[in-house]
Amino acid sequence: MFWQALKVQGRVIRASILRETRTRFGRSKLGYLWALFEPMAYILSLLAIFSAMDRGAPIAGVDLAMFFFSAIIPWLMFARISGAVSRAIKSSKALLTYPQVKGIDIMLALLVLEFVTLFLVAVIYLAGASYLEIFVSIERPLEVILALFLASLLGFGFGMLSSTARLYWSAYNNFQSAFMRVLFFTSGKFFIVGMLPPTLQEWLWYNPLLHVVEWMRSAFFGGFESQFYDLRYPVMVALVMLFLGLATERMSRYRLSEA
Amino acid sequence: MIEFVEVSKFYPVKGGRKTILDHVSFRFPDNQNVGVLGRNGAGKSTLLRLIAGSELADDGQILRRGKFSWPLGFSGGFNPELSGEENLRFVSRIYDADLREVTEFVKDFSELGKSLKEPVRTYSSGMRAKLAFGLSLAIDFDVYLIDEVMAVGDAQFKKKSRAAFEERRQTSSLILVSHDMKTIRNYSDVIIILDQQQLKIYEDIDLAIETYKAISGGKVNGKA
Repeated sequence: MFWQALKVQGRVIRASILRETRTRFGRSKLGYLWALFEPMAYILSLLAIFSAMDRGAPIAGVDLAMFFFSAIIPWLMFARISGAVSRAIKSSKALLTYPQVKGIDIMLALLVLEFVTLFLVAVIYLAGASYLEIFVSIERPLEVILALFLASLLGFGFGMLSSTARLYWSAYNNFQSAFMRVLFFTSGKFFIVGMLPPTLQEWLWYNPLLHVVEWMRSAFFGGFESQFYDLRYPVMVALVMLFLGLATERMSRYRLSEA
Repeated sequence: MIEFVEVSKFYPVKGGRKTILDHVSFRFPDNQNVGVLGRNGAGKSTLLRLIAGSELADDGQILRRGKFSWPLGFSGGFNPELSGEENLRFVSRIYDADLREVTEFVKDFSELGKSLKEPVRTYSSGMRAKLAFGLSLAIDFDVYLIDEVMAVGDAQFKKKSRAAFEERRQTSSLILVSHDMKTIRNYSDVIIILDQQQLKIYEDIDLAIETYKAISGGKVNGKA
C-alpha cells in the first residue's frame, strides 16, 4: 500500500518536473536566457555601485564579483524556490483535478527544477570565472553544496507557508513582497557581518539567510572564516517552516476548490 | 466499487457554511451506469470530485476499489499554456500509461489534428472536452466520471463517444452528471438523486425523473 503510494507520488513528481520545465522554458528561449543572466544582472549592478563608491571586496584577496556571486546564488535559490512554491497551487490548480496530484507534488517538482537550474547556472558561472582567472577553487565544496541545500530548504518552507497564507489572507502578497525586500537587503549580498556595528549584528542575527550566506562564504573562500553564523538557527527555522507548511498544506486541501 | 461511510462535505460560504452531504452512507451499484440528478448548486460536481478523490471529505470515509477517472468536465485538467500533446503526455505519465499508444489513440479519436500542437488556451470548450474524452478512453478506467460533457461535438462525434463507452460496457461503467434528461436516459441504468444533503437511488428511471422534476420545480432540460 505504502510502496504503491510512493510509486504513484514518484510518477507524479517526475511528470510535474517535466511539465514545469516545459511551462518555464518551453514557450520561448527567453526563459533560459533569464535564468542564465539573472545572477549576472545582480552582480553587474552591485559591481557598478561598488566601483562608483570606489570600494573593494570586504574579504581580502577575493575578487569582488566572486564576493557577490557567493551570496547571490543562495539568495536566488531561496527567492526563486519560495516564489515558485508559493504560486504553485494557484498556477497549477487545473492539475489538482487528477486525484493523485497533490499540491505538495507540484511544490516538490518546482523545488527540484529551480534548484537544478540554478545549480547548473552556478557551475557555468564558475567555469566562466575560472576562465577569467578570478576564481581558482572552492575551499570546502561539500559545505558549499550543503549551504545551497539549506537555502533551498528555507525557500521551500517559506514558499509552502506563503502558499497557504495566500488561500486564507488575500492581502498576503503585499506582505510577502515587503518581507522579501527586507530579506534582500539583509542577507549579506554586499557586506559581511563582521564589518557591521554590534547592534545591527544583533538585529540581523534573526535573518536565517544571513547565517547561510556567512557559512557559504566561509566554505567558499580560503581566507575567510565567519564567527557569526550558528547553523542550528537556520536549520531549526527551516524545519519549523517545513513542519508548519506540511501541516497547513494538508489543511488547505479542503479549501482548494475555492482558491 | 465505491462506498461512502458517514461522509460529510461542506463549503464555507459568506456567513456560515453550505452543506453538500450530511453523514451519507451509501454504496454505489457496481457495474451499472449511474446517472446523477440534483438541483443546481446541490453539489453534483462536488460529489463527482469526492468519488474521484480530487477532493477530500470533511468527515467520514470513502472506500474505492478499481481505477476511477478524474472528473471529465469542461473545466480544469489541462494547463492552458501547454499544447494538447504536452498535456496529454503529462496525464499519461501520472497514470503510467504508454505515451505513444495514448498519443496515437487520442489523435485518432479526438479528431483534433494539428490543433494538438497548439496551446490548450486556444481550444474551444468542445475541443477541450474531445481531448479529455479521448485521453480518458485511452487510459482504460474501470469507472468514468463524467460531468455534463457527454454531448460534445457534432452528431458524428457524439455517436463515436457513445460507441466507445458502449464497447467498454463489459469492463467499465459510467457515473454521469447531466442536466439533460435525454443524455441521462440514454446512458443510465440507475439514477441517484442528490437532494437535501442525501443520496437516494432509483432503479426506475421514469420515477427518478418525475421526482427530480418535482424537486427542481418542473424546469427540466431536454425531452423527458
